[in-house]
Amino acid sequence: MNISLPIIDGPVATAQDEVARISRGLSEAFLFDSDAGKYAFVVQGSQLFRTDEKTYAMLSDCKDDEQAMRAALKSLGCRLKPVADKPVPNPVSAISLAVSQKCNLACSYCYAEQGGFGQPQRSMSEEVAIGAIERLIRDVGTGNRVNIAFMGGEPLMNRRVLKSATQHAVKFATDHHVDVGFSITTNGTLLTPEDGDFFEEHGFAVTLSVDGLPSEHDHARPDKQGNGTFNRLMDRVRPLLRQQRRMQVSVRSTVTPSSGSLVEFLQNMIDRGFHSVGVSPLLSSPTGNGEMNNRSLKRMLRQMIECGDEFQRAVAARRRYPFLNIVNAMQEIHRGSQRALPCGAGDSYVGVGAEGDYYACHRFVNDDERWMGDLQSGVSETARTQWTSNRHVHMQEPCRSCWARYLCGGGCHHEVIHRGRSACEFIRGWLAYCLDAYAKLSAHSPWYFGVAD
Amino acid sequence: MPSLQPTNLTAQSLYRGRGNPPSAHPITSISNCFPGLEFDFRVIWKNVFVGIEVHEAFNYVIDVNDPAIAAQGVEPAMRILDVDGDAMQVDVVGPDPAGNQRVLGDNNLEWTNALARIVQQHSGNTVRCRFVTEGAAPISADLTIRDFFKDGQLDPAVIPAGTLTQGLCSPWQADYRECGCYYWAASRPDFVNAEPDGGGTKGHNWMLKDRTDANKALTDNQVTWDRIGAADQISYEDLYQAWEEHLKFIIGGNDQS
Ligand code: SF4
Repeated sequence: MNISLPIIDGPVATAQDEVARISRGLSEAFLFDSDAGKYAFVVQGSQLFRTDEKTYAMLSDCKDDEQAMRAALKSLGCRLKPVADKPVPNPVSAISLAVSQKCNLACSYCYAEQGGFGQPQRSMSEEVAIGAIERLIRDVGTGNRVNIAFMGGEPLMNRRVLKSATQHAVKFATDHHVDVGFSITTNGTLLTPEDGDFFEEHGFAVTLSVDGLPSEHDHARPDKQGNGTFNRLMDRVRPLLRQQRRMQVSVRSTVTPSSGSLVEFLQNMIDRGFHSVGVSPLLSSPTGNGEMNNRSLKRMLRQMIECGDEFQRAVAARRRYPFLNIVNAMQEIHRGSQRALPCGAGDSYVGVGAEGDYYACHRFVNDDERWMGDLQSGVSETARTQWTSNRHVHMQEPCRSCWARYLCGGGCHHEVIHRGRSACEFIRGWLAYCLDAYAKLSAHSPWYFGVAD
Repeated sequence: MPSLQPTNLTAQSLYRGRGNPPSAHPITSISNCFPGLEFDFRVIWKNVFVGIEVHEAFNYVIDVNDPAIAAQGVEPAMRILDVDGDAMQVDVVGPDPAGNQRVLGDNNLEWTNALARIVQQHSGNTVRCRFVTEGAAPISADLTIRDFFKDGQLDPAVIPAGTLTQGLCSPWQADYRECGCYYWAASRPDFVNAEPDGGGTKGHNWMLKDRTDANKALTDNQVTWDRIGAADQISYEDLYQAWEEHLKFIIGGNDQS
């Protein structure tokens, strides 16, 4: 693989270098030379083309001039599809409920600061949970689908409200002819077999936070007494893993500079029967503890590429390898996703705090600057419009001229607001790898995308 | 000559092949492809099954060229019921005049939708299909799906240049009666001069030559495409020579004299 950007080694670029380097022809097309051929990824429309030598050379000549690049692409029959500067607001179709703003663990880097988000710990009342659910379902309207995510702190510390809110949502959604899906993000240490029955009955997407193999996890995620939690949570989750039919039990892992081998971790989780495993780097924590730096991000990228290579081998052998980061990337590249925002936060998705206030997402609970209304008056349209306009990738630097802007969307709001864009090399390196993997997969294993081979 | 080969879905749907006019692209055309102003996709569907010729409008077998397929019992004038388990026709359910839900008839599905999965997953492979002749039990036969896409584009080796446009209506006035179910031209209603009649309504088929004759008024569900070509309907020649006179303007659902 010969990607045109120096992604893995080489000096660390400053934001200014980034702008200087990418604000020209590369903001329109990213060119790469893969084992499957020479490719051009056209940024507007997220379109991927295989090219011949001559075309590749012609496009390479335009790398320093975006106007020339646009003209060259058009002359080749490529239709650029611009993203509007003002995003069309989507209706709110997903909420998270911080049912418990407290936690039984003491993870050092936790954005929620052990659940309280820097304030006294509290639990969401049934009244608030039900109020938020009814508003969501009523506002989305007949025939649509909503998602309700239980978050915390540790949501199972408020099991009673979690269960009654779910049951109420099912009934209320049925009465209003709305489809409803549920998810929960949990540390797993409080799971019971009855929780498993309940999640299975309601088809929950259960996400467990597991931060590496036993010793790493125990170090990153101790309980309040300082004891490790790996074995406890694996014992507790085992019955759920066997039970998965409607429910899916997945792992999400936060990677810190002290994390170990990703490929071993992934295989371990897959062997245990988890539905899928996703990883993300810790870019900002309230104390700065565990934050990734350039060196550790480069290491993580190398490890993710190792897992990606394993994924490619698995696809070639028609074997399941549910590494979520690449599975999702393959689908997004295949469809040519174009995002003006990195995620649904503050747009189609809002977080609800224990007191019944709306925030741009679950990570912004109790953050007054990211407040988006309350249960009495509903999600503030003004706040939402302002948020989506300000956070639009066209408004972000150096995103405006980055070739990866519509795949990345500008990076996690929470991390960018608190730490800035410290992971662009990592993001682009990963996306470049994924484009290369897609090029190979679509050439050699088209069946993976549902196409006859 | 430099060229691009679209790889992912957005590239495939936005790319314009060398030599094609802007209107060759659904996004920049009227994109009614049944039969269509810019291209007629039915001519591709005609050969979607290797060894037989079919017509999309009625799920209809026109001809059987391969004796091995004939030996499986497939004959001209049969209709295709399903392909690899996917129905090619469905019952249409809706309220009758009394408001009760009932089956109002069957309807053929458009192949661009109904065959999408089959073409995507089984091009070049053999799939089980069921055919039926009116009043007889369905028969099953294994047919191969022609592989006419290459890299997301029509393969010129299978679909020669000019195929998509060879059957376009000429002169264009023919379009007024070319479409199988009267929805071309889209802005024309197919049921006009409607008046209340008992519990329902009666009106004229908009392709009738004489739309003043109360005796020719029918209820809405009697106005069907079955009568295309009947002697009391506007003919191709009528349309070529004086389409405005025959079709008139329809305003508020009524013929304007
Ligand atoms: S945050 Fe994403 S879009 Fe913005 S510059 Fe970094 S990689 Fe590019």
